[in-house]
Amino acid sequence: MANSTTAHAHDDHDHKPHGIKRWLYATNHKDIGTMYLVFACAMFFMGGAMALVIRAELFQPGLQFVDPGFFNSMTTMHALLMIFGAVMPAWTGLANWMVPMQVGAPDMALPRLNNFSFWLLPFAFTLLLLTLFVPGGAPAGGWTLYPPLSLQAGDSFPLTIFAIHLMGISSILGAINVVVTILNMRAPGMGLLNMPLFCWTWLITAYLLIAVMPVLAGAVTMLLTDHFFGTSFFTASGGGDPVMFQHIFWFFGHPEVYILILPAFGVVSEIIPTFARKPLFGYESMVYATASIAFLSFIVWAHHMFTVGMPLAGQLFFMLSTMLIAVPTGVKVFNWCATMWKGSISFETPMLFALAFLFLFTLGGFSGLMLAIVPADFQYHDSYFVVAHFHYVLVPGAVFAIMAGVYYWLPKWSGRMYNEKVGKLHFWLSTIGVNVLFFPQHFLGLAGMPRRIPDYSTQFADWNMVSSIGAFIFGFSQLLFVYVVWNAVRSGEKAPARPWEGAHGLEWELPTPAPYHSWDTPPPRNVITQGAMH
Amino acid sequence: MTKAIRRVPSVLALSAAAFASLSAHAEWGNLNMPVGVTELSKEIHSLHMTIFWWCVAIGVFVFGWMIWSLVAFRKSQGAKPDTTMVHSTKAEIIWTVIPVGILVIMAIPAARTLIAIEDMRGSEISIKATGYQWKWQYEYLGEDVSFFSQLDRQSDEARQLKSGVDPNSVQDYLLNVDNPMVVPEDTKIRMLLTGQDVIHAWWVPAFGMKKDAIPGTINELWFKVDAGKTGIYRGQCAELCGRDHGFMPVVVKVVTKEEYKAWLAAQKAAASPAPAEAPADAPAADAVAALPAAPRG
Amino acid sequence: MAQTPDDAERSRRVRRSAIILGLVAASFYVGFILMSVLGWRQ
Repeated sequence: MANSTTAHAHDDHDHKPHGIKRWLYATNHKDIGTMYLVFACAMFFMGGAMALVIRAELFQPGLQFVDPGFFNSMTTMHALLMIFGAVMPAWTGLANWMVPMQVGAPDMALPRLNNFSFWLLPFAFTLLLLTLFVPGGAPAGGWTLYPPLSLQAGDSFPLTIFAIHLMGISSILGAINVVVTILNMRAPGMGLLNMPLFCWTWLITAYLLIAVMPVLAGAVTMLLTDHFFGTSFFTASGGGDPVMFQHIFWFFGHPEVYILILPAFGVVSEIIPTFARKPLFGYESMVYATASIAFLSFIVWAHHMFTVGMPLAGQLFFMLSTMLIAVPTGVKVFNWCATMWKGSISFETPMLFALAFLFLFTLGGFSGLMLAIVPADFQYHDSYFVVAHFHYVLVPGAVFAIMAGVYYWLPKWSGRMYNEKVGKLHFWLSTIGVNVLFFPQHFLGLAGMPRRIPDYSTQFADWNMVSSIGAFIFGFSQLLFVYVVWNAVRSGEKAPARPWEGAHGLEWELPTPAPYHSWDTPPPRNVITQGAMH
Repeated sequence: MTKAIRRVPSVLALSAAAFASLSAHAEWGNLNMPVGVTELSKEIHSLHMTIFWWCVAIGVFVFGWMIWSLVAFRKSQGAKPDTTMVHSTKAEIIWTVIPVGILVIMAIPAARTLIAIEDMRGSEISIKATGYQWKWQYEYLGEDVSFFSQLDRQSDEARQLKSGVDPNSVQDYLLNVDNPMVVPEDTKIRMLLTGQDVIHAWWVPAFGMKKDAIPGTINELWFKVDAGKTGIYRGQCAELCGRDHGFMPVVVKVVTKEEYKAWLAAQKAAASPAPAEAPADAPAADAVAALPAAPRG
Repeated sequence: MAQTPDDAERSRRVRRSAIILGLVAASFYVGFILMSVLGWRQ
């Protein structure tokens, strides 16, 4: 072990370009991973600012700050930025950093493609953000782009469509890279079932991306031809069917929500065993559960559209398949609980975020189960109950898992420790803020408040005010996150190779900070079997 | 962390007390789905409560397990990990089979209610509602009665950007229209829904039902308001339909059968002399609106 | 890093699987548009 460590330290200086070229021409998985994460963080704050515009307007009944049209642009852009700009690139960034280190590879399999897929993103989001300044304003038909409403957009329309095409190409290429890396670059002796769960969940996510991003691209291409070239795929007056768009969109859209959450399962499955100092319980069943969730995600899409008027048989089918998802998801939650049982648990910041994930994602799962019941969904659909549900699974779900991952691996990346006190402060403010923000939205939805409205009846005033207060607490406490990371990278204490005593996995066998090329010589077999303790 | 856990009970007690004092104010109490005034809405409400209590039960178990582990197996209290506990086929089978059982138990009543919801037979009155940007048109099929229904003037003035009007001073702010739809109690009403320009959705929470109004398609739903539940029921468009999506309420006035007959007769009488002249946004509550489609807002 | 026969074989495999995955993605794109053109409801 000591030998390989020093060998790597010497490799550290080989052809590492400096200055702007290092980033523009980056082919190194760590540099590209860093760019993805920084980009995601920037988009997170931009999307967050839009969310705060929304919550500021909803603080009181009446319109105080923005025009209803601009409000709709904010909800639409907030969703597009958060989904395609923040969460997806953050996962790709984490995959770039961790997959080669975890499978014992020197780098990603296709480094130049990797560069291309990152650099598409700034162009895509420049196009998308430009729409804020064109006549007619930014897209305001919701991120789901339902026609005919989305076809009423002004000059923003082609910009939005091309931005989505670019994002789609970027994530497909990123996904291809992850798949070929995992399938071809594993160190000798590392079988698929020796891989850490983060690699497993990302492998499955990558397959989902390759299958469904082209479907979204197809749907928006058809919108484009409907708008400019006189086709009528989705316009009723020309014999098209607006509902067909919804079917195609949600065939993409449901797997998409698992694209956002499956890597989170992976990260949490790494962190909980580390801080419970006990191997992950039921490793194989975790892999199978992930695969079943991915499979089921293809046959539940229409539960997003129970109110469009489907045949009874269709509604029953989608209700049952949706309820079925609770089973593999439950298996995962139970396995995490069993991992902590009889462990030796400590509560560092990554673990705190993972635990918040565990509690609050489960809560979001419960409201998901309620939404699956079709008759009840006729009440919940398009109300704030839905808003509460998907924000619970996406914010304390996906976003908390990303933050947990950053806190967990930052010492390995930067060679320095973050400030535990500020990290914990960030955690508590975020967790309290997120619950004050989203929990009252359950009440609002059940009481009958529709989503995507800029103003509301006075009976909804009280909980909206609470929710907005939570939003500002949550939003501003994220600045602490930037501070913690910045402070650690600049002037944190030097971190040892294995900063967490319970951590297993190949990435912890590398020196800290991780060398520029992760595993130039594959790790010895005994290290692999030791690392993969399950 | 230890301190935080010890503090939990007192925090809970405090917030419960705070909550109790707040709920004296009526609106803080709007926490749950209304029971509604139709048989379907009651069935839906009871399904909602059943699945909610199942979730609570599962939640007590799962969260209890998590909290137990977090308290009992703290490293700071000297817990030693049992690293041999990595797999148990028996446990995996148990926590796969039990959830499947719970889901089956839930699916059966849900399917039964769903079948009732989809059963349109035996309706006595058919009303076609067409969604426009941003108002509703109601046509009483076979009765030659038709009118538009849009946000009332008072709300409309108050909802302008920086209007300076306090929404609290407006009666039923954003939930009031010029011409409400009128239906009799204790009668099975079939709604036919479609959209003129974009997709809208017709929703009255007290009736338990919501359905999309889609251009080129006609959707159906039915409701039957219980006898004795006359009154005004309010809802809103529930599908994003553009700039004024938040400002196209659905208001249904439920009256006795006799009142309904009288209302219908008055509508017909008012409609016959000058069918095309009446303005679409007539402020009078029971005025009849013109038949031709108004231009898009 | 000198190219060994193993590396050459591996880069062939990498390229082949990347191209296959790319084709899968492209066929999903074309497939869904075709399906809509032909009308999946008949």
